[in-house]
Amino acid sequence: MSAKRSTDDRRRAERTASVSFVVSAVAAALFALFVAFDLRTQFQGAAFGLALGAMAVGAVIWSLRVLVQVQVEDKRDASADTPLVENTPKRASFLQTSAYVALGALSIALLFPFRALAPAYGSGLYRTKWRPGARVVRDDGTPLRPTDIAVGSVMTVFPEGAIGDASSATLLLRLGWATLQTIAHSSWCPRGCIAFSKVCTHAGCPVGVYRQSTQQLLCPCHQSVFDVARSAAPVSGPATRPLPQLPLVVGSDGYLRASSDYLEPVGPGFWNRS
Amino acid sequence: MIRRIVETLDNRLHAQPFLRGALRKAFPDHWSFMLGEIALYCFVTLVATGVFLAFLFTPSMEHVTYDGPYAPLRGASMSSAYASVLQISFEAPAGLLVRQVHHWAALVFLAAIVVHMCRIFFTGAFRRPREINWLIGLTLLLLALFNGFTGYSLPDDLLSGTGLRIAYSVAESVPLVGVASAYLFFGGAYPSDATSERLFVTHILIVPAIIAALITLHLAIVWRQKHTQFSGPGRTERNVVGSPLWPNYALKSAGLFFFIGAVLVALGAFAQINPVWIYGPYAASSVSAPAQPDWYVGWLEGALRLAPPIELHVFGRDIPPVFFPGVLMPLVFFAALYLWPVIERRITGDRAEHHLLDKPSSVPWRIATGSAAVAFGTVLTLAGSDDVQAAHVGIPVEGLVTAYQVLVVVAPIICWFATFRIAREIAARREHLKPESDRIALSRDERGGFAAQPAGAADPPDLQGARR
Repeated sequence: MSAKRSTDDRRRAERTASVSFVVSAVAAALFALFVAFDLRTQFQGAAFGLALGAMAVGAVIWSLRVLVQVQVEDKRDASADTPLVENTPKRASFLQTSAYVALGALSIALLFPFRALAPAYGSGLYRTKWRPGARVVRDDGTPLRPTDIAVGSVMTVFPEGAIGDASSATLLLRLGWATLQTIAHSSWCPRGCIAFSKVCTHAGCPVGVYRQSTQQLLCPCHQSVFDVARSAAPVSGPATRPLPQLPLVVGSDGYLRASSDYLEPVGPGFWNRS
Repeated sequence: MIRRIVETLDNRLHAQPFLRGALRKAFPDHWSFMLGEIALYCFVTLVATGVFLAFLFTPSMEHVTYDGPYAPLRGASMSSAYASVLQISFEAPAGLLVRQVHHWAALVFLAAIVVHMCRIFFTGAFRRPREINWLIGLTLLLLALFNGFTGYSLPDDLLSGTGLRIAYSVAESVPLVGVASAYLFFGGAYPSDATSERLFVTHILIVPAIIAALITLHLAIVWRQKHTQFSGPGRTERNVVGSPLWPNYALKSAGLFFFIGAVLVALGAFAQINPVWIYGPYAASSVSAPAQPDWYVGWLEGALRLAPPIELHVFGRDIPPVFFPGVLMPLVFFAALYLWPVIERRITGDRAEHHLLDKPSSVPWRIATGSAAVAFGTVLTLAGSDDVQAAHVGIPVEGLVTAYQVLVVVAPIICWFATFRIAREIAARREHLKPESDRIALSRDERGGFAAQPAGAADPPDLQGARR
């Protein structure tokens, strides 16, 4: 009885598997058409996915329902206990030693051409593009007067001529009188305008969020929070150092200018920072 | 036809003796042995789709103005790298499909490797003589992680650009060699025009070549050492029992290959992934909020978020806060994984060869340690998206950070003890049910008396006979 049934099962499985393969072939042809006529990604993917899926069904049915299920047994070799190399001399001969020295020297020498891949770092680590007298401009190049900034607002500014420069990106805010009293370098804040580096001192992301109600700057990458009223000192999150403050003056033309570069390196720390 | 080809080849290569053995090689049947295969087939998919993408991608930071079909970005200034990704996505035939399948395949590749590694760990498959393959496997995990990161950094979009900036800061934080190595890898101070080419060569040539070589070695060693197997009737330390490679196992595995392909293509077709046109082109002074990396980098992102603000000054030098969660923690974590076979040998003093797998519960302290590590990684990964969770629930992110800081210490400890207890319980129960324990089978005779049966005569039927 079971022999008869199993042949029937096998026949049925064979049929199902063949149908799957036919479906797969048709779906593959459809995929080719869909790509040729530039149909939507979803149609292309559905057709190709179906071609692969039907192929999978066919192969698995063939393997599990058509083929006779057998179990085979492999013996394991016993692990060899005899050493591979016998009678090795106890002491390395001069021949061996010199060969090792040559190999070592060769590999070390080969490291040196990699110098070409790492440009020398001059002052770039410590300085930005802010120069004494550089005008403060928005990202479209417009220079700014103190009155162009509303009290309580924030904008991203650059030194004139270096718009978009990553390390020079700076946040410009205008503070009310009361807040200004709490700032250490209040002489750097003409008419309440105050500028902090936009590069987070934690991992270098742009400090992109300003919470106006609490006067806090927040870095969206790792949620370091800097308190503007305390000269951008970190008050929460993983950052350890305040955002450096840029000394500002108002020039004779009435525009905001930097009176110097940042007095410390901006951004995250590194070994020879100080 | 096929027979003719085989004969021709065999006449010239004399492959018959090898093939005869190879085709009937035993592959044990157990669902968990499929995990490594899933990873392998993801890698095949990655190479196939990656070759297609490599021809269409432009690894260049040269600035161009977009004038393609995607209206919201028309006229925007961007790098040619980003523009070529838009071109792949919106203009190349089947381009978006291939790109999304590639990205999904990377996500599944990493997931399959991690789960496969957990299987190896929990069943003790890394023990002698398989320590070498444990080391190779871990190296493959690291390489896959690294290549995933370089891959999703290639499009030069706002999200991945921010990720690169963080990676640069982490590289820079290493004492002594940090700045030099960051310059070496990124081709200068961030953002450098050379970065794109560096990432490209690394992503499509160097790392994939090493991965392919190591996978070959990994499989060659599996072939040579033969598979492990769970114990069962007829299965001993001296043999392997399973389906023959040809045709049963080969067909089944081919089925799995096509199934993985189908799932990845379906994901690529219907589940949007990494829509870089929404993030916009990278600009150093902008950032997308919230910013989340691919899942397998989540634990590092979480670690950076949870680490306390500690900066060390030694000998007038600086060790910045990202060094501890970004470099030291992963280093210690992976060092522990690499050394685990040695650690375990020290603890147990067991130097014997093992080909039969442990049931996970039979070594309670091992499964406890493993699940503590999993808990640690899971909490860190969750913390990597704490800003999104805070926004969803409507609580301040600072509170959530504190909660995760507590959890990352407490959860592994709780997990350790809970798993230990449960595993010991299960192991004890199994010991109790063991047929060849010191219990004696009794039989009753006609007169109502009892008699002990000779050992082994009345073993209960096996609960887990060999699967057919």
